[in-house]
Amino acid sequence: MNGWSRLSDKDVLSGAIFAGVGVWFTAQSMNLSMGTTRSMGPGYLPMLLSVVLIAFGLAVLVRGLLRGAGPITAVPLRGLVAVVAALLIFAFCTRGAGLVPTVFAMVLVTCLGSRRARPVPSVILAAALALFCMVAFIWGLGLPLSVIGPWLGGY
Amino acid sequence: MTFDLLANLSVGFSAAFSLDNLFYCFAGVLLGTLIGVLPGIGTVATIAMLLPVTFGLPPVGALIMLSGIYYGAQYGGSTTAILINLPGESSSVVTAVDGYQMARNGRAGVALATAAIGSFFAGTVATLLLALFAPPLAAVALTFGPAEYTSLMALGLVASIALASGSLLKAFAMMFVGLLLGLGGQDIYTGAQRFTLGLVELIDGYEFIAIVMGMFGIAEVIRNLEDESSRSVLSTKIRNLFPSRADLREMAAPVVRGTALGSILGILPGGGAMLSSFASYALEKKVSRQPETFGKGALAGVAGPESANNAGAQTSFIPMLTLGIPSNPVMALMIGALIIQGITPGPNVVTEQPVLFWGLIVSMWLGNLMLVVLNLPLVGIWVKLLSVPYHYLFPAIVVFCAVGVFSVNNASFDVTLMAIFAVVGYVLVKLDCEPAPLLLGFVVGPMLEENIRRAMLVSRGDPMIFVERPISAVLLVLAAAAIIAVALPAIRKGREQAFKEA
Repeated sequence: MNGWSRLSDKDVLSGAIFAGVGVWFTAQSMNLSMGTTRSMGPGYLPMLLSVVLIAFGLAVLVRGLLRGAGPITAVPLRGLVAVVAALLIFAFCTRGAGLVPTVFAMVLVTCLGSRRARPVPSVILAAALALFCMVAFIWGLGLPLSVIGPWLGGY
Repeated sequence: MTFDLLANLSVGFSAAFSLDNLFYCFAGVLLGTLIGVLPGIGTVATIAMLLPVTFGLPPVGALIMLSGIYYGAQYGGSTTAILINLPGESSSVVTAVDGYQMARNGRAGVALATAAIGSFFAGTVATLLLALFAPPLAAVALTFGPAEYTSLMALGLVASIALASGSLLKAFAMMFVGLLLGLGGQDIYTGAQRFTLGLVELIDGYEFIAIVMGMFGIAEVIRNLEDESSRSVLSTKIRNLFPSRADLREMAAPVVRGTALGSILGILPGGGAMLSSFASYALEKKVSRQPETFGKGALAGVAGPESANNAGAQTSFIPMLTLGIPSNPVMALMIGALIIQGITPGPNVVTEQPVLFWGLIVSMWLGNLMLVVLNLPLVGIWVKLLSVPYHYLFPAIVVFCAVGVFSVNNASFDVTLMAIFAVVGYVLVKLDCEPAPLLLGFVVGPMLEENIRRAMLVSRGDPMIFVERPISAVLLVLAAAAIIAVALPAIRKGREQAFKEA
């Protein structure tokens, strides 16, 4: 096994992630007051827990180095990127653009994540879902969002 | 005692049979089945997606609807498992084995009916158990001090990890990440901000729903997009929905055994539906006179696990309602829902919210009844739903998750948070790290910290309080025993075996 395949081992990777997250939590806890054992401050337990997390992370990492759990399988980026992009569109555009255009755009972007989705049905689906969201969530459940937002001349 | 039970149940009946609650129960079961039957959406994702729908309801109605969603989702998952061999959730993995074979032999209707009948019987028995045992358990829990509570939570967390599948070390690491994330936000005692990165949006802590939907809902979608090979839906028309007399005789014993097994395993932390169904399948195979039929469409292989997973789903409410401790991700969601409704989960719920508690119990039984009444005639519609291709389904899931998470606090930030946790959850699953312990840790984290801090105040900073108090000591010994037991090579092998059996 060469160096690279060891680095892509599932245990080595996850161990490193856990240890790294633990270090981040420890660093964050440093800024908090520890208090005493009798009267624990806000930093006491986080510090304790994050140190234990680092220990577990290192244990997983070492186990990976010694035994190996097999390399991580390829991460197909297409679906991941499309879905995350769609969510970010929602997060950053609903207030400005309104619900209907946002949902329309986000469905089109999500469809790009699938190899099997075809353009025309995707557009129909996007329109249908945008309409459904308007009826169900704004009219029905009273979600405080505008149908068409200020960016597009709505209110 | 019996009189009490009857009086309490009548409180429950009058609550559950109010027109509103009947409707919520019905709507829950229907919606749960509707979403749960869609391939690739598990129970947790279904409940998380539908959780925002219940926010506007009164607490009793919300909880009744959520539990209806839970059974519905579970039954929907079984339907998917039987008809297209695609279990939407871990607890119906074993159902898929023999159920799908039955379907291929033209007995899909019988398999579906068996699942429904078994679930109903198991649900009825488990609901009775819940009514009988929850109040005394809550009475015991009321005497618990902070030390006992701390140890109980430690036991709950450890046991739920010990009984789950996969690597112990990773599960522990995931649990600690969850505990730490759960502590995020403003500290209740000092007002200090923890892990907020200076963001105003995180002062109230990391939004639970955003994390659940990200890690269970969206991450699942991304995973399904990896492999888009088409799934074959059985095109044969479903006929002979009703099992013959011979079928009924054949399923009776497995249903009873599955119910018993599921009821016991459901109470255990980490048990719940999944472990119950696996254990029941193994048991049925062992006691069967024709073990060679298993995997080729054995009726017992559907009847046992389906009863067991429903019984387990039901009895896992016992620790949640009486102790306020989640034993699995679904119960973690229920606790989240209670907290959103302004109810502190714990032993006080039984005495302080009798209408909620007993109403929920009665409506559980009612929900199970509705499941049977609703599903047998509607099977045709569910089958139609199954044929919706995934590439037109998942954009809808993504949209509903986004709107759902947004609606919790009307906060766009939570949608971003969900996207982040979706990536985190996806990567972790790729690395064989189960997301469930993280979720349990997240829910238990704040409660655990509060009790530890109180215990240390009581003991004036002496950690010996946890071992000097007898109940607390016993709980900790049990927790230690659970870890040691799972770490032992012999038992470890058995544990892996149990999960591989199917």
